Amino acid sequence: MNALDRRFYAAIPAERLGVLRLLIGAFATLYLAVRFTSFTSLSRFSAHEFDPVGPLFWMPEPLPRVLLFAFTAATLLLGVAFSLGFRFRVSGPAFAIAFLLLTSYRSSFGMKFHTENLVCLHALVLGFSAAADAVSFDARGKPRPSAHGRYGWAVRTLGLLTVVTYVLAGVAKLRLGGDGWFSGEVLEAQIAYDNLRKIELGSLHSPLGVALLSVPALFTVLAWLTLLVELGAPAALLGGRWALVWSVFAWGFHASVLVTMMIAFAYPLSAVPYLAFFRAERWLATRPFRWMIRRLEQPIDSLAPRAAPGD
Amino acid sequence: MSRVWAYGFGLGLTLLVAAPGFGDPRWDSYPLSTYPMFARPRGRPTLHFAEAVDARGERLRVSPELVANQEVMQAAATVKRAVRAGPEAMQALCERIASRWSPAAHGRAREIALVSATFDPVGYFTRGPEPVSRTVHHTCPVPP
Repeated sequence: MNALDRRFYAAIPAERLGVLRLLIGAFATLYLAVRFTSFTSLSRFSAHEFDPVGPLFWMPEPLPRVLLFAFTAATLLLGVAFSLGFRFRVSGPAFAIAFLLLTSYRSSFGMKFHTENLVCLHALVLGFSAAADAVSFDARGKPRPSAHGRYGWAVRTLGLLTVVTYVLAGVAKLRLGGDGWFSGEVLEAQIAYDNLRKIELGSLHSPLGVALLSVPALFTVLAWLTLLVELGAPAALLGGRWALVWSVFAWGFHASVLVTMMIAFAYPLSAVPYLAFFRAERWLATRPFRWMIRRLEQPIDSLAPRAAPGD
Repeated sequence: MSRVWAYGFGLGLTLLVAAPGFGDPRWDSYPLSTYPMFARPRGRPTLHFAEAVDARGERLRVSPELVANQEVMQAAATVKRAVRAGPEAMQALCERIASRWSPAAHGRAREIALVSATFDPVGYFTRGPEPVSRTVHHTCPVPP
């Protein structure tokens, strides 16, 4: 148990979890704000098109338009409170559950938005952890908590969930794509099909992705790189340079998906999910963070970086 | 936050997220998934979409907002579901699109058609964009 404790229930500064809450919460809130009309326009679908998924499996029919609008707006407001760590005992779990339900609802009309899975899972972990003990409104005027496992488990879980989702995607490619994945054939057809359907459906396609189709050998390399990133994700759990190298590769993988298929996995592209592998609290001493933290909690002077146990 | 909660919730959630990896690799839900979206061999996929037809028989593109919302793939999925559900669902969707069609904004159209087309994805770009096959499942008039 001690060895597991040292890895999972590691004593980690509250500031690290606080920074992760601030950034992941801000991403989720901004995502909701930018896609507000996309969420509320789900009321344009008719009842027979409603096919509830995940935690909404029990719902007999879609929400009335007014209720959907109110729920989306309430989730957005909860997201602001969550990000700022304001009354987090309520806003933390409330936003995590509301975000889960709202994004599940969005995926209940015939298309699943896989781009939202990881941020939703991360919000759940943060919402049910002590993520507002530092870098938050709730921490104002309170003494700084010392590094503890109650912060460590949440940071470790964020990292584990990131790793597991990548490994799952890699395993699915091996099991469903088989030899076609190793030869690059499946990837080539995937990039061609994705651009084809965007052209046919009147959306933005990738001229670069289309141009690459004239170099079929390239897809063998890209397919192997994809598998390397996805199945090699556990290397990030080793921390340090392993985490840095893997994170750069993973970000590069999503950037290449964007430029070849015009599919934006906004959360990994923001680099926010990879921060759980690093000592994110070190940034608290940088100027933009100091400015932000000064408005969140006092005193700022105590936020200088210090030794971070548990790494 | 107790240690029991940390292990129970943290590791429990991780195991729950990992669990689909031990089942059918095509299984897909939200927020749990095997992430099969880019993994399957595509073969010759069939794409569903709506199109408008003008008085001369020319085909006009129907924007996703008229089908569902601004999400292109969600609009395609909506047409596919209606085609699978049968004539009643197709008629309801077709009429909905037709009622949203504005000649001033979208051009003059005689009818809306729900279509599926099968493509050779790589051939589309290397040999030409003509589909391998094309089926018009349902049509309905655009109100004047």
